Amino acid sequence: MSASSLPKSAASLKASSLTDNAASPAGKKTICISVKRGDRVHSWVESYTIPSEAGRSILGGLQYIRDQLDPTLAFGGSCRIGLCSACMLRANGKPARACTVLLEGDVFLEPLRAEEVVRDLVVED
Amino acid sequence: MTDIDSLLEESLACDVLVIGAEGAGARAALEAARQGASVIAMTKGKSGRSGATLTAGGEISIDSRSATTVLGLDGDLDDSPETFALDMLRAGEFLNDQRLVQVHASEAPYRIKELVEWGAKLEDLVQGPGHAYKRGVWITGLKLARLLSRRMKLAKIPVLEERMALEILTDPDGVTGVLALDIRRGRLELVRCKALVLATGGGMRIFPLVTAPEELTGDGMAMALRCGARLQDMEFPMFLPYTFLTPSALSGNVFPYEVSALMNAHALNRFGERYLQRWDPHNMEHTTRDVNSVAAAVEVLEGRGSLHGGTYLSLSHLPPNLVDFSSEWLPPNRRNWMADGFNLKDFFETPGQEAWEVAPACHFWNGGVHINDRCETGLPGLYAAGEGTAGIHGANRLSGNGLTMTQVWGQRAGKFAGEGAAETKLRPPERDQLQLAVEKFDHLCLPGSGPNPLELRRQIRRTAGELVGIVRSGERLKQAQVEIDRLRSELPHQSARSPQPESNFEWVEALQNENQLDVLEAIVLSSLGRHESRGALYRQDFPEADDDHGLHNQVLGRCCGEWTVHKRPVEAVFASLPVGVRRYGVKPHVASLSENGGQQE
Repeated sequence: MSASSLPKSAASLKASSLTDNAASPAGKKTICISVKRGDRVHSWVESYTIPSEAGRSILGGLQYIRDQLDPTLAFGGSCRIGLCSACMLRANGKPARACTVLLEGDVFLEPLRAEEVVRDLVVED
Repeated sequence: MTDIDSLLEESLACDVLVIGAEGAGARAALEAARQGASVIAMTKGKSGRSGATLTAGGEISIDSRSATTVLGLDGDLDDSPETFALDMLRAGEFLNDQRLVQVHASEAPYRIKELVEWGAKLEDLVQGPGHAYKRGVWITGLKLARLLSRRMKLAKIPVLEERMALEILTDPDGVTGVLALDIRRGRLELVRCKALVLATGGGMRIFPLVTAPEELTGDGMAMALRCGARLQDMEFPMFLPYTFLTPSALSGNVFPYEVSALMNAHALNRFGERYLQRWDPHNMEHTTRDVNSVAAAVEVLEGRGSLHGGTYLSLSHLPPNLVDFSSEWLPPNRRNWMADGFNLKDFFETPGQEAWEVAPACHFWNGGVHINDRCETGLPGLYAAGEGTAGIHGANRLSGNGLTMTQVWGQRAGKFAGEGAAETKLRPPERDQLQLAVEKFDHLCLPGSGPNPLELRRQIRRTAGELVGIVRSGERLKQAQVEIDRLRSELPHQSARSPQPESNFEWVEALQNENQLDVLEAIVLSSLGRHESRGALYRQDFPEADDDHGLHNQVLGRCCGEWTVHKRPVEAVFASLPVGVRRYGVKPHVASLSENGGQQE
């Protein structure tokens, strides 16, 4: 699991991710998303490599994984505009709404409350 | 494998079961409970934190006179419920059920007054497009959803969260209950009831670009169809022009549309042409939402679209300091380049000086389950309310009238379902029917190597986007039909890769796929049956609105895999119907009020 920097709010990302991607052809660069999976009894970390894309949220990254790499990954999501909190998780240790925080580099995702995991990133209410 | 006996033994029972617990559903549950019925509400998401109400812009439409006399707001006494009703007909291009429109316009003020009594703070009164007066009472969908959720807690109405209703169970006397999946636990659950209210919303998520939350997959409409109810006006899913197409985090975000409504933004194709000159040279970008959406889709279809297959919206022709100033006076949740939970400055160096890539997103469902003015569907015990029911908006909805619909029709559905339940006995579900529904679900859960539900969903969305979409033609619709037949043959073979029951979203997707295909096919059949363009339906091969031949509603049923389509002429109840042929986008002239109105316009 990489010791990458904390995911900043979208506010800090313009200079790094957008400019970097503009400079390099799409598809050349990748991002590693590591996810703590499992339930309260068994857990493991699974890492997925996805193409980096300017302006993709963490939720967008998870959807990419579910659509293209692993349909079994469980996570929440509903409104996609930062209102409902269904996609709350921990990104590099910090609570975050997956829909409004952008993927700026490698990231480690965990359920919001480890003691209340139902499955993967889904927790009891 | 699910055991039928324990399912029956552990079943819950109530007088009125409400599926969907947000705008319309919560209101229905509250009203039924107020009448003394025992009520259970069920939602696929979480109470107050899911559904389309949450993301609704903020206007609740009522006539401006009542806004003054009933709510004490600064409205216009020249308006009236009748004038509001006429504007609804004009927007709906006269396909509305005029009886429902009358009820809607006359009851709306009192439903909003009750919201105020429950603690709602009405922030402003605004004039939305298509309204002759200031009628938009301002309260955000988020505040409304939370208020209703709190009221349900106060009324001690149990809300079963993260439950997906699978099948409506019936006997010869009507509804007996609902089989549902407890998504979190991954097991089936039976809720028995005397009356059932469907308030499950639209099917926007069938399309690739949407403004609506994830869970809006047309489940209620498909379930109703499967148990013998009918769908109506399904050719009119509504699209909102100018939502972000890229970057992906913003896709479907309505910020550009809201800016375009308030400022002189330019809609441009790849050549920098203001293509609306070809459609509405007088109003340009301020033309109606349907014309805006169709015009943009035609640019893309004819090869003049943007880099990622949309068009552009730009403020860059305006002086930078003028654009900067807008961030001080736009609606509060749009100031300083905020777009809901996003700050556009994180995506654009200078948001006001760049052309945004935009595209129309599926926003609202004008059609749905056929209801009468008591929210009855024709199947005893089955009621429906809110988005996903037909007749109120006709071919197109007035702005701000979606939230009004939730409150007026949610309350009515709760009232009539409560009354209906009082005259009905709780009956046991028919065992054979329950067995079949359970077996269908168990089969879905068998591990296998068939097509993955996620892949099937992608194909359904692609079909909806490319072959149905905003601009339709007989040829593409027939191709869509072939593709739907193929996808339908794959449905029974879908298999999840994970056998783990808890939060198994592959199962949820598989169940939604069946619903989405039913609803998509209903759109295709209804669109093929309408040889004209009207409201939210634009047919490239029939580009004019034909009031001489088009004033009928299409009512669809499906039995044993066979569809029936019935064309029912629109009835003139309080306003006479227009005649002649119009260019698409030119609203019909309102000829006159009928005998009880008498007022000439």
